[in-house]
Amino acid sequence: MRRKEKILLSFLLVGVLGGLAGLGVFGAFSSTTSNSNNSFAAGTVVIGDNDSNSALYSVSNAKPGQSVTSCIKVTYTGSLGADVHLYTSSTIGSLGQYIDLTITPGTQTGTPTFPSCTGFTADSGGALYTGTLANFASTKNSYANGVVDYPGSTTVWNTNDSVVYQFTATLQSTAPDTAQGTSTGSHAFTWEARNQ
Amino acid sequence: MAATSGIRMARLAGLLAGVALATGVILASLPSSGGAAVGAEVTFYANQTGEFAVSPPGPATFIDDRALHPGQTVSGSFRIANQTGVTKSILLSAEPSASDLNATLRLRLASGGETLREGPLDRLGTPGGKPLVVAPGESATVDLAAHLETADGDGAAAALVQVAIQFEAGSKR
Repeated sequence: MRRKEKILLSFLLVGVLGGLAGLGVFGAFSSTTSNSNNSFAAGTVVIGDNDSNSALYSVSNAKPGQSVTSCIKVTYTGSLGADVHLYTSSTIGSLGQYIDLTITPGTQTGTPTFPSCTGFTADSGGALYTGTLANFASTKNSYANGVVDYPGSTTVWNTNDSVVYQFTATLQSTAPDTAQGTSTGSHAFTWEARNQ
Repeated sequence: MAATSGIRMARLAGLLAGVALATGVILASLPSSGGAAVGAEVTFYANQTGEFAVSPPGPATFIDDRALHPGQTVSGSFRIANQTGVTKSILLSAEPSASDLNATLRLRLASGGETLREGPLDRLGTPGGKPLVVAPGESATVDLAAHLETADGDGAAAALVQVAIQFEAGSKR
């Protein structure tokens, strides 16, 4: 091997070793940071009650002055703050004009059992609605004109809020003879929640 | 002749020393790998419904383990009250927020010492098992034990799973 080739080979060897060493040195000083676990999830609006598909009242063969009182617990379990409106979209039969309806929000001690009102205490604000069933159906028949209510003195329904509503329905003692044998027909009350 | 051989030996020794030096520098510069696995973060909660009051009510958790390691078991319980006017037959299910532990997190749901459901998380996604029967106005305690299988190894290290216990109820006349 000639002298010139030896010198070139030496330079090559030093270069390779230096490169390897440099790679290790610079690797030691590398650094990263990251932002992980990104996600986007929608909230929920969920409302329920404890009626188990049973009616608040189902009175047959009623006579003037007869009254029925029942309670239903409405619970909000959605994650978004919400408004709740109460209305009926049902068509009410002719007897509806002689049925006095009172809806009062409140609380109930212990574990409520639908439709019992045992332990019910009305909120300080009093009744949400007092009038005939027919009037309720004509004036509170959609979310837009429904009765607005919130738990206690709040202005929003939050997760796990609940309100017990006491319904009292009375066949007016002054109902005329023309009311005999008539009916309100089956009707439903709706609590609709919408996020704020 | 002897002098030439000595020079070659010296060169070879220099070459080996250079390679050894470079290797040492490279190895020393490698980042260390160490540190124990942090464990899986597993939480359980049960949302109440209109028909059933739950204590503690979701999103509050009744199990919150921030470092569950393979081979470990965590447990907790919640109460469910029937607010309806009829006896309810309740089937339970478990809905995880992520699938990381679906095959390796084994659950046992029980009430009064009686097993209602048992199996890996991915087998409990739909209501089933033995029904929990609760009379109107009554309540029952549901106990849950969650065991992370050892087979998962490091797979559970970064898992973050929230499990919702769900109810499906039928009326029992």
